[in-house]
Amino acid sequence: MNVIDLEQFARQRLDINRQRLALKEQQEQRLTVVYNGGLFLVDLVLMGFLASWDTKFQLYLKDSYDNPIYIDNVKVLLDLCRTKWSEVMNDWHNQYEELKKVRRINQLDEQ
Amino acid sequence: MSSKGALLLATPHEQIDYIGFAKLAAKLVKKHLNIDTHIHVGEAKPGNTRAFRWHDGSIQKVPWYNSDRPLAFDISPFEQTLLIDVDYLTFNNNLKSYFDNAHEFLCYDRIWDVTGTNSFRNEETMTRAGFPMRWATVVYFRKCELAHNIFEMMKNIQQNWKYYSKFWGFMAGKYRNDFSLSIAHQLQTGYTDNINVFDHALPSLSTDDTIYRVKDSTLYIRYRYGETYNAVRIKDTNLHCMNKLCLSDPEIKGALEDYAA
Repeated sequence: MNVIDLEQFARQRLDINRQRLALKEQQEQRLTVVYNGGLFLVDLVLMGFLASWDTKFQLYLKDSYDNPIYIDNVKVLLDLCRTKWSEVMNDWHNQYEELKKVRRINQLDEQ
Repeated sequence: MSSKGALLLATPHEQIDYIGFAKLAAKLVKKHLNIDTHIHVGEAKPGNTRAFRWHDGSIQKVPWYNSDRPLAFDISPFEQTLLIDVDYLTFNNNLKSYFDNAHEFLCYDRIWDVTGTNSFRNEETMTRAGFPMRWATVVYFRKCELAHNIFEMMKNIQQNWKYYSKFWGFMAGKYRNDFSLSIAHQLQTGYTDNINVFDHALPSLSTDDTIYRVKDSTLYIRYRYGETYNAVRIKDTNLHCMNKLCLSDPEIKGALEDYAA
């Protein structure tokens, strides 16, 4: 790219929709936790289920690979999920808020 | 605890610094996954060639030394191995989750173009008949029977490339590890395999698009968008950067080296 092209590129309107989708994909890839040899996707269903489980009963859950995993401590898994959820959603929200202000490509660098 | 580490296969090359890329990729693995790394420098066996179309419009035809990958099982000094391409840049610890679990063999069955322009739409399947594609870019394996069989099968496919190309219905022009792995992976699991794959898509950047700036773990990417260009920013995201020309750019390479240090 020559100097004129670079200037034009910097002034180009940012495709915010593609950027928003890229942000979604990169954050969703982080929403997993490992517990007792199983890999779990952290979502509202899992967290809601764990929060409502009566711990006097034993719990086995299918992980992302359809393997049955014994959950020997529901609270520990729930805490892991909550921590991961907060960490990822916080990052996602912060980056999304920054992106909302971006109109031109050169503004991406200023955030 | 069994030994675990990342294996990178590099070959000396006249035009592209694959060994330099391997050293950088190994540093990034060490930084984020904190596992040992082993760079295997292979012999440059002439035969395959490949034409790259880079982001500046230039086309570069170069020798393509990709024949060592089926040997990964034999080469790896680790019980649990993460086999990665030298142009795979690690920016987070996601892949660490797959170690010390029940997995025997994992590879990617989906690809995510980080620019959102669907550059890999023609590679979603291996053949026009829709044979599912597997990507050899990042592979996790244990020293187990399944992994051994898959790599042995890959050797067989490599040695009988023309036969397999006719049988499966793809162009036999050049040996390609992705195809070889796709066939071996399916054959060893009775065509029913949707288990031995990673649970997310492989983040990738095509040779047409480029990293134009690196700031810590944030990559600024310029992509072709019709007749013009646009940009996307990714942070803490692993990336298979197929554009080796941009990785060779002293400014980009220097910033990545600084970050990896």
